[in-house]
Amino acid sequence: MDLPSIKDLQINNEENLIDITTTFFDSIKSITNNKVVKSAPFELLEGTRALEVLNPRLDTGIIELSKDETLFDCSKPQSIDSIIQIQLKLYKCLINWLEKDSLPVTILSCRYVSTILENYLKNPTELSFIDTRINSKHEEGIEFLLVHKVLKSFVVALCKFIGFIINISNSLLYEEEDLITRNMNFNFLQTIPVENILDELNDTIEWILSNETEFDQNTSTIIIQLKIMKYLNTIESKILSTKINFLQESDKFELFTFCKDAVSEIEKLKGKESDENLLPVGAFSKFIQVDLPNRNIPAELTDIDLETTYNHLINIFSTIHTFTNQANQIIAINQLQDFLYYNIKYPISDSKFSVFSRGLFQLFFIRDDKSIFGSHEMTLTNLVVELVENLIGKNTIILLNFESCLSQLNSTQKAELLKLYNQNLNDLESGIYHNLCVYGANFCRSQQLISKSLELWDTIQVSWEPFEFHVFNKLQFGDILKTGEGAISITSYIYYSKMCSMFEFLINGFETEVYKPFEYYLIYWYGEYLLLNIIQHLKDRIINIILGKINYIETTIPNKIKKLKNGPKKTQLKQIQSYNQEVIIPQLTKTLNYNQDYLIKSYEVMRQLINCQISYLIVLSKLKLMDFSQPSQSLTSQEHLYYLRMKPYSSIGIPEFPKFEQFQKILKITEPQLDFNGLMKSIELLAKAKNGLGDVIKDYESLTRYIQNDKHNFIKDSLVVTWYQQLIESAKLLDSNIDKLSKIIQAHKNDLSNVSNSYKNEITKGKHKYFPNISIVNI
Amino acid sequence: MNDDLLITTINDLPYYQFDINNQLEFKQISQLISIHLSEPYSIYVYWYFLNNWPNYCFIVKDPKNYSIIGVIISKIELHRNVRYRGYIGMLVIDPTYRKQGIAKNLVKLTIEKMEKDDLVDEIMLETEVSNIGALKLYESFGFLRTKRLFRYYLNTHDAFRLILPLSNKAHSRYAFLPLHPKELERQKLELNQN
Ligand SMILES: CC(C)(COP(=O)(O)OP(=O)(O)OC[C@H]1O[C@@H](n2cnc3c(N)ncnc32)[C@H](O)[C@@H]1OP(=O)(O)O)[C@@H](O)C(=O)NCCC(=O)NCCS
Repeated sequence: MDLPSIKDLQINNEENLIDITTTFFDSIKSITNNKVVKSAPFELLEGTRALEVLNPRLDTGIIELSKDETLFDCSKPQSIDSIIQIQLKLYKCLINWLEKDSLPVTILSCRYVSTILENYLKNPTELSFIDTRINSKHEEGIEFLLVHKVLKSFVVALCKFIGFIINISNSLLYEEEDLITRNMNFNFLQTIPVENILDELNDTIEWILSNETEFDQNTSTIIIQLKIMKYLNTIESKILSTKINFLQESDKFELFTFCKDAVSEIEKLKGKESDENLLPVGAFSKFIQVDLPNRNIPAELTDIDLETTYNHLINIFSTIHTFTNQANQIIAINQLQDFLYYNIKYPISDSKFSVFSRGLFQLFFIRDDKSIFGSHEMTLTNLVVELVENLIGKNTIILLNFESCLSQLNSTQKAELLKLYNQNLNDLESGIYHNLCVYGANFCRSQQLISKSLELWDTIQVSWEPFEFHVFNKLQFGDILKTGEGAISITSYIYYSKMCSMFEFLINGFETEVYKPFEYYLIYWYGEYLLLNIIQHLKDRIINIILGKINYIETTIPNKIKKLKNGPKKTQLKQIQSYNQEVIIPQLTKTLNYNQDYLIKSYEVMRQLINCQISYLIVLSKLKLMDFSQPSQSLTSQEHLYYLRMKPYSSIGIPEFPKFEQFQKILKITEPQLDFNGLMKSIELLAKAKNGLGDVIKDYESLTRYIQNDKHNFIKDSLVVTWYQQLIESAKLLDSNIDKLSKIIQAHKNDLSNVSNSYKNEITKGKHKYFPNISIVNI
Repeated sequence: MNDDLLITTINDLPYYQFDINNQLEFKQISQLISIHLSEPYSIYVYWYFLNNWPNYCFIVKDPKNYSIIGVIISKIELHRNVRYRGYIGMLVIDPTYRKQGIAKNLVKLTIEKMEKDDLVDEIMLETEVSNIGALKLYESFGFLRTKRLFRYYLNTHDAFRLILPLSNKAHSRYAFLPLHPKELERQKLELNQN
């Protein structure tokens, strides 16, 4: 096949062509000066990527291809060395796609891949390297089979794997953000079951082994390459079909062991260098960009190194092995939360997961039927109850048997209230579902999702709160505090979740680097305020809800039993009560202990650490080493900047949103103060912070011990320990920064105004993502 | 040379508003941008901005040969029918003329005009997280980073979305805002036409 240039084009089949010259020139007559002619849906976004004829940066039509590239013949026999190099290059392309570039400049730049996919698109039963536009006949020797059997099964399996990733990406990742697909309208072997692909690979491996003598030392390399491809496709065949013993204490066998095999195969391949001279000339090119209808702009082919390729592949398998087995070990809801937050989200935000593993995790976690890890017992609806009661304790009356409280009502009232109840439960479930989908997201998208979560949870709270009050006051139904007040348990859970999201959204801004130093004070100050509210809510409300539940079982029910006459009612209540005593009370006590010994403690230590940071920031500002007012040439007011930064929280009813004026008052404490009083105040603040840091370090160490001794609330080898380690290091770093500053103050105690002439702040990455390192250096 | 469009002269450099009837200017602008910005833009994008908002394209010329040495291109539009939003699309200074405050002047001209002539509620733009120069420049005027956008650019770099809030509407959630007067006007017009 020769692709002639336009000039040489001999058009002899003219009846198929329509001459539009006159129509075209007639239509452009109506264009008046400087008007853009476009159809309504053609908007700026389309325009930014629009094709512009003859602009080399935008017109794929003028991509130049060499004759070797145009006429590349995929059916031509190739040596085993070439096959190995093609496959190696394809692994590089795969990882390059996962890390950075689009399919057309990576995998689809391979003519073998594009030929198979084009043929499949025309006829799904035909998977071949024959391009009918190229007439070729070849002898069917061993090198012919190397192409048409070995390379083909490799390429077919690769296409299938890509198809799997694209499927995941379509529903669980963000196109053009997590992955840049540009699939060229190919359908990546959708109709072929992955099992067939695996059979084919096994078959090919057998064939190579039976012809081993032909390939001598290359046999093992090519087999390893095929095996890795097999393992990649095994992921698809196993991920949804493997049974996970989620929340069950039954025997736990190791799952996904093939991932370990895959890692050891890749390790063996590590010695294999790539040698692009051995690639058949023209096998990788921009052909696909020219050959097919293409909405994308021209792009250069790209490459990554082998080391990155191998490491990325190893990472995929080891991550999957880890998260599937960790999920399988989970026997308690606290462990699930530990798993999700510290062992999925935390490493993801550190870019420790391949984009594929992220998407795969979400697929594995919440299934299409909304079951959790595919568990029959644990659907999303059940999980909602578990999550709520994990905080507020078991035996939540409103979740137990709501309809029983409706007996006093007439049928219309009954129906209305029941409808409202179900609606509220649905909303709660959607809120929890929304939050559970954040874990696999990239660290920027995750923030956008959390920001949405704030709105969502505030709405959920607004509908639950009056509902719970109404049901308690009018129907005397719901958990009751020892004081006799309604506990509004669900609302209390919602409020807690909302505040946690608020704090997380706020503090994660350090990681995405959206805060400028002048905003640091505001962020830590508001963060401290949120933590204070969280702690108070846990101590006052949540703990009391659990105590109320215990009291209900230990005091209220026995009184009821006493008052009842002997009979079936009494017997029934007695039975319930013995279940309460044996099962529910120990569960409530466990929740109570966890909340008091760990949960509240962890927030208190964080709050103290933030307070130390705040003291340090105040001193820096007093000494004019930092400035928490706005940029000096700002064309807007500080008030506008305050409200823009605080916009995600401003519409939330409680906790009360601080007005700009309140913050202004708070900010007064940071005003420069270089006199003797300033000196004393600074020394005092730093001493206080240093003391605090000592406690913070001790407390974090004891929390770490708590975690290490605990077998029920944290998963084995949880990264939560690393998390605390980083916080300890952050505290130590802050401590040494404070020492440095104290020395500087000592040296300038007679004239503090000199400090800002000789020193400035320097902000670099800290030890923990919540705390950038703010140190003082010489100017 | 259309001197009606001369806006100001700073440090002997003349600042003009783009002349919509001058094909050469259009060409020079698109060339300057396509050389110095990483994203490739089609001619359509230039037309889109320059024809719809020629009054928001400012250029700086070399007084010796009148070649264009700096340009800023913006637009203003209603956002979700409640806020009037200015958007700075492109800003480029010829490398030999950088670090003389030219970009600063262009951005300031743009902000002030948007505020005065169109009463915009906010001004927005995106820039690469690694473009320290541009970030410093915009942030010195009070632009805040409101979001980090993962792999926003074709070169897969992340971007920051920056916003300069100019009215209370800039920091109210849009669900709480009434329709913008301009939108109400448009709706009335539409009603009358029917
Ligand atoms: C960014 C760009 C427009 C700046 O133009 P410029 O005329 O050199 O900028 P100015 O001289 O007006 O500088 C204004 C302020 O920006 C900051 N700045 C500009 N360039 C900087 C650089 N390379 N490094 C650090 N800060 C820089 C400084 O804070 C400077 O203020 P200062 O001089 O008081 O310190 C120019 O470098 C450019 O054209 N870059 C390529 C295109 C681009 O990135 N455009 C912006 C994307 S939207």
